[in-house]
Amino acid sequence: MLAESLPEDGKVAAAELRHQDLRNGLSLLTKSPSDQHFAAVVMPHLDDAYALAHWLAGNSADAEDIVQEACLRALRGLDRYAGGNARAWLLTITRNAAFTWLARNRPKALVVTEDIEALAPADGAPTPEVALIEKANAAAIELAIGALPPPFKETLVLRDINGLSYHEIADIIGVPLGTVMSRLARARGLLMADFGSPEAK
Amino acid sequence: MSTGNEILLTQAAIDGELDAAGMLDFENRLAGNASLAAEYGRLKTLREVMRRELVKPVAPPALRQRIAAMAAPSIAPRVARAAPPWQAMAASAILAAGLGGASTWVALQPTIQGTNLADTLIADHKRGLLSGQPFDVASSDRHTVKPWFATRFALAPKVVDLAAQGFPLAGGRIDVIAGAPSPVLIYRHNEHFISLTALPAQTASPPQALVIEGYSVQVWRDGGTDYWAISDIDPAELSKFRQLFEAAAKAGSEKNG
Repeated sequence: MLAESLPEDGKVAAAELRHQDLRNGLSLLTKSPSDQHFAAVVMPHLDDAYALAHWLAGNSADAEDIVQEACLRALRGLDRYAGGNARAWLLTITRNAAFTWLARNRPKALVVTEDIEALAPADGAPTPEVALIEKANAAAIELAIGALPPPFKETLVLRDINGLSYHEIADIIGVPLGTVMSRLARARGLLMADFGSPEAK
Repeated sequence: MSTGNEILLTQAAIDGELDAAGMLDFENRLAGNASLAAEYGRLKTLREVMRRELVKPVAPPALRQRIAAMAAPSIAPRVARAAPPWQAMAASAILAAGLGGASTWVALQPTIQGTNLADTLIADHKRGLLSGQPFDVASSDRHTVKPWFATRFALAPKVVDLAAQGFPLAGGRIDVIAGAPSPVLIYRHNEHFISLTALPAQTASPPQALVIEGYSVQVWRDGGTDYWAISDIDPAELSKFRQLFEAAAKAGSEKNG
């Protein structure tokens, strides 16, 4: 399509263009602007994307698949990235890719039967003890976070692992700020109940 | 027992989401409310425990490399789809100009010769196959591969279509030979790959055919360019590939004037 459809006058311009190309030769040897853009926007936040995917999927092999898919989407959508918070942008894509992946591969994990927005702590539940929470180790915490329903899990991970603000989390998940706060409280409440109740030990 | 709102407020205080006025108000409340203070203590402990125990997962180096490599193949379709006329013309001009004559590319190329060079090219060929991604741009369409090189090299290598003869184009790659980026075309033959590297012609005439470590090597010169074909296919097959490529390249340059 390029060489074959070249009209006669293409040859006239050829010498001139070639000259310019030779001068540009050095800069052409380096990566194109689009590569640099992708590198600048996506690469610095790869660990954050991977951490989120790892917690949502629960293992590294699936997390790699999710991050790879997310980066493909990011690359395709790079034209639409309007500047601003690159980390939140990539995490939004990663989060969506993770849930698409979960829906396809582990549909049961996404079924949440209870009313997830209800905040009321269960009456009569023992008050978690600080001393017991203090003793929780990595394995117990990972197990407890892994057992959280996905909406709580992603909110907790975005806050406590990725270190995002409430506003950023609300933007990424696409829910009101109040919902972020209540999900976070529920997630933490479940963790504390898990570690802090005497019968758990 | 703290109310729902008090829990949210406590949490916001822990997370640093309250402004100065909100924080002052919260501290006043905390002083006079034992259950709120207990909730505050629990949440604070939870946060400390999580910080102490949890290690943030880090992207494995292999994943990082795959993602970094991802940017390269995306260029070709974009250029092919949205090339403005001047760009199409520039690409054509490079092809029409061929590879003869002096260029910055030649000037950049330090000298390594003979079997040393063959060893280097075989190593690159093997590494390409081992990585599971023998090309940076994957396409059987030479009109995708040519512009992809054209955006990276002042003088792109000749790209010919040999699919009908049993050597379909698989893609393109950039290897660094003696410190200089060099274009590599990848052709497929049955289940095997052929790496075809275009290098500026050296003064000494290169060896024509070699077999090193079971790899067949064919070298030929076209104007100012040496073509090095590396593959694990039979030497006779690679020789046939060379003849087909030379014939097609000759026909192509005659057509383009």
